[in-house]
Amino acid sequence: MPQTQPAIEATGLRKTYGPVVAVDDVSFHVAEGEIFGLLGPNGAGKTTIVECVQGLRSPDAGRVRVLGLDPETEATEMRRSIGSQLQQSALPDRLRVWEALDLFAAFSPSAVDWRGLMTVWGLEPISGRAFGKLSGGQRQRLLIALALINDPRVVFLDEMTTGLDPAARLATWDLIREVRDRGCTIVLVTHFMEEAEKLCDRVAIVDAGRIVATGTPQGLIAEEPAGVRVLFSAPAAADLAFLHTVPNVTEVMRGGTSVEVEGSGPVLALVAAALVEHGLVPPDLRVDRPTLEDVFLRLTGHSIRD
Amino acid sequence: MLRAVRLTFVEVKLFAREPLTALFSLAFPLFILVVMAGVFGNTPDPAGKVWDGVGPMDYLVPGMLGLVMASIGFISLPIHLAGYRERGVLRRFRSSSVPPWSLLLSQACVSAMIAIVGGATIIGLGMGLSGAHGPVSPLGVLVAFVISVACFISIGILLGALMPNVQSAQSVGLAIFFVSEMTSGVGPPREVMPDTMQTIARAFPLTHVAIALQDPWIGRGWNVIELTIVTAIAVVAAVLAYRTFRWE
Repeated sequence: MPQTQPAIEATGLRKTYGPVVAVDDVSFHVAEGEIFGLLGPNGAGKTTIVECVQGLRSPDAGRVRVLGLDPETEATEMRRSIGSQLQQSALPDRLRVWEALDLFAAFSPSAVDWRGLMTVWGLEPISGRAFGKLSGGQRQRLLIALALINDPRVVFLDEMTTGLDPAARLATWDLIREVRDRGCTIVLVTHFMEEAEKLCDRVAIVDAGRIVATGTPQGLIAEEPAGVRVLFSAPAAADLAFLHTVPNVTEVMRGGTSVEVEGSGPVLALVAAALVEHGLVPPDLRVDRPTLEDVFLRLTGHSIRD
Repeated sequence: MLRAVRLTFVEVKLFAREPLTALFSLAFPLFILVVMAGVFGNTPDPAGKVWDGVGPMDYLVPGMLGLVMASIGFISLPIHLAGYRERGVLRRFRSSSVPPWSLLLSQACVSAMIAIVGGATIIGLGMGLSGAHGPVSPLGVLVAFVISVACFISIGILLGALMPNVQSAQSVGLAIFFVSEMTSGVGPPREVMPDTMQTIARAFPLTHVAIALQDPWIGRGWNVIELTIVTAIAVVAAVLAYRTFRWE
């Protein structure tokens, strides 16, 4: 738990659209300087949650504070200190990249040098290109740069790596970490497990309008009862009974030459050591750890891609 | 205020880059002007009944100024605003705390500029092409022009606030525009229309704008009643527009 006032506090958020309950009793807090992820499938209510937090939608019930401010009654003051890359937001088709940065910098009293942002986010080579002619990835990078233009204390990034190729995605993660290292709090909305696992300090798993679990990615994975699986090949005749005596091993399964050892914690190192001790050095020794994907599947009963 | 100026500057640039939209705002009024000039010329009705007894083009040119404004207020401006809303441009502005009034003010400024350019083209073409006479009271026409532009900008923003998407803005806007064009005396002369049609025409702002512009132009002086009606429409539309404006 954070010692200081949290950057974001949401308590008992609820939002319905007619008979559809989009967000149901959602509570979470985000500490300053944290990268917090809202992870869940499309339609889970993540976007509605961040829109309520930013005061772009008004929740039917619940309380939100961003940097101690009420997003509904103190919206203008709050927006000065937050940056936002929203889904389904766009710029006029004929507006050029540099003009967009220049214009939005003019909107903010605390604007950073937009030329610097243009360099950092790789927009320099396309600075004269019109928004309507940008590729999906280029648009996304421009919209992220615009979200950072007012030197915000909290940034909301909604599916920020959509449309980016894998290399650009990795580069974006690095840049986001740098933003955080400068003291910015980041709220990430994603349906992308790997992004949540690699980038977020803490995640809230959202499904059907509710938060079903909150914690660090490692913490959530560690609670996963499926545990760690160590896989390798061994001659069918080899005697592997010794594996049962290795600490942390819970189960050994064999099928022909392939062996699967299930266990927990540092089971890989322990199994490897035991194998070497018994003269076995399988060239294909590998480990299969549970991921957030498994956590999600266990908590919700369905895959995030369903 | 600075924000509104910056936005206006950007919007003017964007408009200049979109030659097709620019053309569309002005093409239809200009087309009608050319057709009318060819059909009627500028010889007054010998009986002195139709066109109030003045040359048809003397009567139509000031009315066409109103038609340019109507094409902005009924068609271009609502489509532009609805398009911004539909595509999420307004959403982007809103999350940067751009106040609605500065956005709407910039739209109003750009529209006013288009109206001025369009109006000048209509006057130049009308006088050059068909020998229409200049205004008898230039000041009266100027005052009517300013009030009328304000009126159609308010209407445009109101329609832009009410229309959920580009498609509805297009259909509704074109429908009002064409009914207005046919009934407001800027196409077929008012005098040849049946009474009921003339009564219906009075429900459309273009009728009032056209008379407010025509009277000082052809020497009948300022029409204070029509100017008042146009001002009232402008104020009501502006208040409604500001109150109904939605970002999403």
